[in-house]
Amino acid sequence: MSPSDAAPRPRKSRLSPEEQALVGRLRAGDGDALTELYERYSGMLLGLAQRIVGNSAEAEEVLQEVFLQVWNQVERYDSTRAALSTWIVMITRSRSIDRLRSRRVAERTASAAHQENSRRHTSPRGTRDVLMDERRGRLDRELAELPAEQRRVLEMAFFDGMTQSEIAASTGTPLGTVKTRTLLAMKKLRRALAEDIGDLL
Amino acid sequence: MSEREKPETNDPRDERDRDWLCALLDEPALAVAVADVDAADSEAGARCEYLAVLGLLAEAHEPVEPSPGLKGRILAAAGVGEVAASAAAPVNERIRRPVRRWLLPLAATVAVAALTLSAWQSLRLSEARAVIDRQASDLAAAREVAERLARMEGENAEQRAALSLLTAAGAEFCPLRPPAASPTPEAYGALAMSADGAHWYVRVVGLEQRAGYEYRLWFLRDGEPVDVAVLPGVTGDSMEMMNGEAPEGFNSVALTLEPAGSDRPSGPRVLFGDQRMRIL
Repeated sequence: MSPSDAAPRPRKSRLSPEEQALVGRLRAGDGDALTELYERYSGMLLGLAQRIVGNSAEAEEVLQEVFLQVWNQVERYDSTRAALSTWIVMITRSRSIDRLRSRRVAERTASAAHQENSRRHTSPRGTRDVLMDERRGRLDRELAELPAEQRRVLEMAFFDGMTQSEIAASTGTPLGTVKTRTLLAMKKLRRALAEDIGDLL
Repeated sequence: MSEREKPETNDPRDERDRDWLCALLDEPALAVAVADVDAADSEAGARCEYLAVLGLLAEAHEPVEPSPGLKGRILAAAGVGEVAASAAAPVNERIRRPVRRWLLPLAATVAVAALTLSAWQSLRLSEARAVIDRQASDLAAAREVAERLARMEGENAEQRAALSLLTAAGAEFCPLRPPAASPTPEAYGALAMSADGAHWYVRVVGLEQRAGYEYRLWFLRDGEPVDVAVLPGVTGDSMEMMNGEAPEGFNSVALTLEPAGSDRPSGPRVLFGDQRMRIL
């Protein structure tokens, strides 16, 4: 019997007991859980939103929308499909790109975020922050090892919210090549970061 | 395209992953897509891993410290904040959350309405109190006027009675004069009695009120008192009194200044009269 013929298996939650408890408290309307969620992810999400929209004021507006959406739509979260952090990151990215598109700032560049007088995360650092720093270091190394064109396609798709057709038009590359570069970049990162992905899943 | 960029198509799952990923990256709302993807478990693992890769990309940048007020704004917009502890009770959030979004505006509206109503009621109460105070003041003034009128009516009645007594036929008069040793040699007066003896009236002029003393009118027979009346206080320099039945058998009248409470004439005689004249 091939795998595709196998009977559907019950899906298993991809959350740690701690995150399961946090999601449960969010669903129960526990305001302290929202505070904990904010403390845990706000710095990372604000960095992402600021990277995409290009300024801190709009990034904070995005972050407010994100946490409200999580608070009001936590029932929609499916723990069998993605880690909690992944779900929130995707919401942040989606909201940021929506705002970016509505603003239509075509000339924004990746350096804009660095020119912004941003406040680096200076709050007391716990074990979780240290682990995230280590993971960010590995991620930076793996991204640096990607071929430049694959990394660029990936960043244009993820941070700039461009469709692959738009990337193809912007770079003058055939659409098929864009798709292939994207897929290759994702597969390499998937292999290189397998341990970190295992932690998330 | 270089060799390393060729897609790995030997494994059928690579093809499915590629199609899925391309579709996912063409979809602007990735978060919605994650929730809506419906696939077999055999593909779900790969999807989740790719999603995890995308999630890790968010960590490729340094975290940024949010501004100090952002957390409070988010908690307030979510309707938690200070009431976070009370919100921990497990209830049906699908019902409660929409209500909670309206709770703050509703509470603010109710508070504003309550304050407005309270201010309006306070204003009305203040106006009512002013009206009550004004009416109480008017009532006190009216009472004072009524009392003064009653007093004047009483005095008027006494004066009418005195006038009636003095002008009635058969009335008797007894002039009152100061004796030689009187402390008030300038004083004088008269006692009038009705013809039937039912009333008497006395009026004296030129006296002074002295603290601790009172003027007494003694009806005397052969020098001994048969009756006495304590006269009211001096008004101006005169004193008058209207009274009931006069005693019988007296032949003189003396006005003395006595310590309060005395039952016999012991003080100096102020006025004295022993002549009675009848008006025809």
